[in-house]
Amino acid sequence: MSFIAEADLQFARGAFRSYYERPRERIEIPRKIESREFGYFVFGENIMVRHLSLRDAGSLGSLFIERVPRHIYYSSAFFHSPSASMERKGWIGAELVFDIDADHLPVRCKAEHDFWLCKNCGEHGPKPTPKGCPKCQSRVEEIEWLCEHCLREARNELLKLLDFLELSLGIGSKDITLNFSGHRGYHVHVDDDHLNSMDQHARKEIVDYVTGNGLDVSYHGLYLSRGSGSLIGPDYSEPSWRGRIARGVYDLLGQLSDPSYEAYFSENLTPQTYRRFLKRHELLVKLWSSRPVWGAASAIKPDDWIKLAELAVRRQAANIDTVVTTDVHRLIRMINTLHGKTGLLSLKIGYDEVENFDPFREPMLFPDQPSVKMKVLYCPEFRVKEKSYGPYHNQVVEVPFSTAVFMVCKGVGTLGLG
Amino acid sequence: MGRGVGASSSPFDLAREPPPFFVDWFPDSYTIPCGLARKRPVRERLWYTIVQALGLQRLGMMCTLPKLLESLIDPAPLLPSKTMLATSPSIYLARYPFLPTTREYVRKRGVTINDLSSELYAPVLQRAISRVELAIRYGFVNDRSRETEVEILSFPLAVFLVTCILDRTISKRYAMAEAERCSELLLDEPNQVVERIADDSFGLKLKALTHVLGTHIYDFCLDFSDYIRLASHFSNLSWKLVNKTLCLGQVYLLKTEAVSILKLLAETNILRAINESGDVSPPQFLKQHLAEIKNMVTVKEKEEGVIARFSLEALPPCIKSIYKRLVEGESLPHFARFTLTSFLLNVGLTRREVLHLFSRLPDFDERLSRYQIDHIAGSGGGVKRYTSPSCRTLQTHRLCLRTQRCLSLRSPIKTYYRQAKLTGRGEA
Repeated sequence: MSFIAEADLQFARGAFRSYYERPRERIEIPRKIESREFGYFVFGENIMVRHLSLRDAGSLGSLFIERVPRHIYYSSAFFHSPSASMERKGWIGAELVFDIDADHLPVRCKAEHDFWLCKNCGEHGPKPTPKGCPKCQSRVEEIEWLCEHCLREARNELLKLLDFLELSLGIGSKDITLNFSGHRGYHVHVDDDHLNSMDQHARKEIVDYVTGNGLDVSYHGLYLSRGSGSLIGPDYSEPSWRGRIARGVYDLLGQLSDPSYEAYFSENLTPQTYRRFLKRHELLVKLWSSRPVWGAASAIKPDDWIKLAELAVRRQAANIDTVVTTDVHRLIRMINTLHGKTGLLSLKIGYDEVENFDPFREPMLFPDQPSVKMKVLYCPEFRVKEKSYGPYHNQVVEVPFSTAVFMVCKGVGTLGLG
Repeated sequence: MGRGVGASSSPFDLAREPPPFFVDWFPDSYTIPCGLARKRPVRERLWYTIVQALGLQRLGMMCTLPKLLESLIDPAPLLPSKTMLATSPSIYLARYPFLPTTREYVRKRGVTINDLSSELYAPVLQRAISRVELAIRYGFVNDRSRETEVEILSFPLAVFLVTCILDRTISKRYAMAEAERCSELLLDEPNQVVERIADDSFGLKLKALTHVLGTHIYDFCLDFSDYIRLASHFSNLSWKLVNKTLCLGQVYLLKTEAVSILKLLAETNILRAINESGDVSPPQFLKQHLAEIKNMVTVKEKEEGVIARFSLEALPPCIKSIYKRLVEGESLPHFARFTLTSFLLNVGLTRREVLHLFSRLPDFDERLSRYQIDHIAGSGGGVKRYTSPSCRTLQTHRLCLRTQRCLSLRSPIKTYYRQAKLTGRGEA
């Protein structure tokens, strides 16, 4: 993603500098800073500077002021010599990191809000992206837009993940650091000396646990009794995946008659199974309200219940980016730094604040004044704090400073008004 | 520890070889009751007579019957209780040679290899040889932990012998056999004892509990990071973390699962003990015994060679593929195991040979495999002898690999016999 004009780059860089020059009480100095690798992008260059080693908070501070990074990352891993080449770094351990990215979520709105934009004439359209602008033949760029619905979905996934971490893996909230990614997701860092030494295989097992990959419901108490042939299943209050399966099935039963879920069910269940459940859903919801009654309604076959339980597993699983967690050498965005694609802060979130966190409020840390006059090529409607903006198409608008930074970083608006 | 050892006039208070039937029976009854082999020749003979008279050898009664007798004659339980652990810890040293206290004990005894050449230590030498021999022949070492001294001292000597043979397969087989012995014993120990042994030997924080979680009762729990590290050695899906009950960082396990983990650790531990011994040159008095063991290995290899030639040439593609996967140690689905077993039994392999083949599997459980093979062969209490599945059944289970080599389209056994006939004629 690039800026439309040189003036935009200078504007964004100036804004970033003004943030980094302020006393940096908000920047989170990473633990064991001397053992981590750092990497960053500066404005106007598309190459990452990496394999950097910083001794202390002071050298990190001067990097911010001297280089004004557009993006800055550090390694979740700890190395003996972080600045050496990859093979010689000497891996000691790595934080357990989870990334929830709205890009990976099966949300329907994605096709609606991601669009292509011609930076020359402001022509735009939904995906698929054409090779050149149909109107003026110049190069077009894909824009991933931030959407409230996507971010809400991502937050739900985050809550599910935290449930897994706390109740199943037994990781205390003091070892967990959460932050908004500054764009379309959330990051979770678990820093526990005991877990830091886990290898890729162990991390993969954890990923499989939270995503339900390879889960067989028969190992979680859902099976046909050998004697009577009846279906036996787990209870709501059981720990681990057992309870999740029971509660997940109850949720699904409740949604059976909801028309907004019709497409979801017909996609994931065979028409016969769906019909059998739909026909008896009122009875089932009633039966299941106090405790799970597996195998209720004789017309519904045990296989149907198992299919529904498997669907519940997929629903209860936390949808994380599996690659990030299993990669033990990964660079990840530094907490409380600015995201170059949005100008939003990758804000650290308190463990109890997740549910009330608003990504369009707290991370928008630039002031409203002075207001900025700019030309917007195209942008859909969006919200900053309480106020809605847009949709705009090839028009000159006067917006608060923080909104201007956002639109300039997104590459949809320009200060070069000509 | 070592109570009464120093006071005894002979270093071995239990220096006696088992009666011959003890060994003769071994292949069919590997759960030999510990303790019966010594001190009670009368009771032993009585037991033998009863078992023989009733024809119970093949019915897997070996374990229950002596226990029954024991409880009738002697009110003390056959298995040690917690109090026994406190009063007679040496039995644990004999049972679990990987316990650090066992090593410490052996070191303190200060016996050198050359000491073992003396007549006084003959039982130790004999037991060490029998350990290796049993491991090679049957993949299992019997338990004689009541003869504590012999048992404790013979283990390092057996390891020494195995090291001298310089054969990785034998080392592996010996470690597996000893680990198998330990795991069988561990299954009968109280959970608290298992917990203690896990901690003392391997530093594994296995916690014993009687815990009801939901509708299930678990025997142990283990920290999930330890669990993942160890469970990665098991290929079955049931060992995946996602298929376990995980609550507040603890993985809840049944006793059989916990013991499987300890068995794995024991095997690694014993194998390490063998590999760490480095280059050793055997003293003169051991050379003859070593030659005998080596000879046994070659004889066994020849026997195996017979099986290999016998099966491989004429095997139909479906069976050959399962056989190949088995030899490579791949974990097989149940139906594939059944197909192979019933096929091999029907073309004339003995139960022992089939059992030996299955010992290559990563999740090999001798007791279970033996039971299943016996069942398929129609002798384990079951009346029916199973025939091999037909081609059609194999198709249903996606095991059929029909090629032009298939000389029958109905049963792999027909293909096998026809192919064997053809090959035989070709050779003639």
